[in-house]
Amino acid sequence: MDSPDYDLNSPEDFLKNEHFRRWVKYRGEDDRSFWEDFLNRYPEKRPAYEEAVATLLVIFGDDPDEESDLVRAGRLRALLDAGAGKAEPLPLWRWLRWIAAVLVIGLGFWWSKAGYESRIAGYRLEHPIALEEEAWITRQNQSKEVLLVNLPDGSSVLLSKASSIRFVKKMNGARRDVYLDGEGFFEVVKNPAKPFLVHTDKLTTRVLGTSFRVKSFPGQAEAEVVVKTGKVAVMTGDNDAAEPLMLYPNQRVSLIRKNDKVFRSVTGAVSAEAATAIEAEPFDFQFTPVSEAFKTLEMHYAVKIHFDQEKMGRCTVTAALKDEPFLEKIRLICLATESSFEIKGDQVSISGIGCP
Amino acid sequence: MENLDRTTDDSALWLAYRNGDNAALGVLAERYYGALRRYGMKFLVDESIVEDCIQDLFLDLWQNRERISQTPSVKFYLFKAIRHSILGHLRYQQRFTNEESLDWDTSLPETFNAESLLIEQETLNGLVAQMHAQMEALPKREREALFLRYYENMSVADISGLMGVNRQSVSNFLQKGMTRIRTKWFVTMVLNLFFF
Repeated sequence: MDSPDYDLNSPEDFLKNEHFRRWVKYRGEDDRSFWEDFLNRYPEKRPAYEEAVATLLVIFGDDPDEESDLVRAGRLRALLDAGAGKAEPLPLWRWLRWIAAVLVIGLGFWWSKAGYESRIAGYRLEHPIALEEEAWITRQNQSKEVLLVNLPDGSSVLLSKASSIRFVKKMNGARRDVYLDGEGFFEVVKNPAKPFLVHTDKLTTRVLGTSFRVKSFPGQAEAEVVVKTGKVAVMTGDNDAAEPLMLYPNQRVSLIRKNDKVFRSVTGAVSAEAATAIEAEPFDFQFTPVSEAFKTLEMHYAVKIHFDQEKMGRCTVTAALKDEPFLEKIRLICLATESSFEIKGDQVSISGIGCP
Repeated sequence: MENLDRTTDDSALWLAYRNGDNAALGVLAERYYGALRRYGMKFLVDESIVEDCIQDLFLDLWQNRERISQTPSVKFYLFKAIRHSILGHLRYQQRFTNEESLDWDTSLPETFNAESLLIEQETLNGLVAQMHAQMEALPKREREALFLRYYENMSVADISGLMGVNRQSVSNFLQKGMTRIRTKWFVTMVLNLFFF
């Protein structure tokens, strides 16, 4: 063990001490007895010690999923051990790369030639396709209840009343852009390669896959984003240069625009009564009868689910479907109960052979 | 070179790897996997991307072993490489245009095991929340410097090389972070004087 560092007084002294940092990071048994002893001997230094621990923990930050590191590291080591054996892999790799490149270029030529010919043959053919890809769909909720909208990528939006959403029919681009007027609760399919952006008149919310609520009615000064799961970046206005604001579960940002100035405030845990039902719902099913699970879904997504009560009466569901989009929830429940589903508007029909 | 194992130091492993020992690179990969992933994830990149970057890094190292030179710090080399490839990914995604647009994850774990740190749970939760709010105001790059200095134990010189800023700026970053703690500490002291 290092020489005792008894000249530690301010939190800063602790922080600069390598021995102390090692203890907070690894919490080894040897170190534990040292610091236990230290705190017993110098109880007056406890506040500084505690403060320094808290500071270090904040600097360290979140450290998700440590256990799997060992497994993945082992896999990488195995890969290096095996793949990088005695034989020289370089020349073969190089050759394969060249062959692939030639193939790609060749295909490219063929493709552009074919494209050119078909254009000559009848360019009208290409037009409708291009149009269809860029075709916009607008869904408006004029009813008094929420309206479920399933997006082309499988994500779902619960549209509040007097709100509307606009998106392209095929989300083939590099980003998934949707435009919202009013309020919607989003459950986004995870796809790190394609960020999902919700644009409103006052703010833009950007995610890779999570669930959250956005509220921004045109003509109102106030806008709001509340996060249920995952991380969300909020940008104000269309100014991409401005630093995005990161929001975490149960955090909310309110934004008020006055005289063209934007005031934003982040608040912590959303109080239970303020959170609307679906945000508070964990969708955590443990041997739940399928009829009950469907009832929960019907309630939150304002849909009607039809199924054969007699056949599926004995089926149960065990799953945590906290931030899965609606389609994904239905798909997973069907998978678990060996059934299939069909959706027409707000009507969902489930058919299955039932459970033993 | 059967005598290479988990206790062999970095530079010996690096030398062995450069001489064609794949097991030596494997040991290094295993040694730094967790640290590299943790660091990569701080840029708010998806986990699978970070994992791909790490894997590519080591496979590239193996492929190019004849062109790689000896390095004074293997850890610095690996961190610099992973930072570079993650920034490249962000640039491709058009999420990175300048240093200011570069993210840093400042979130905290859901729970802390206070007992393992010899502190009462409530006390620790309170202090962490205060300190978190306090440090939220720091720019992201300063948070990165603090992390590299105090979590990864890197020298100011290495941090400046890694982040591509001069040493004086790194010292300033660290100093600013410290000032925050000191202000906080001062307030606590004054409060203690009043109440006890």
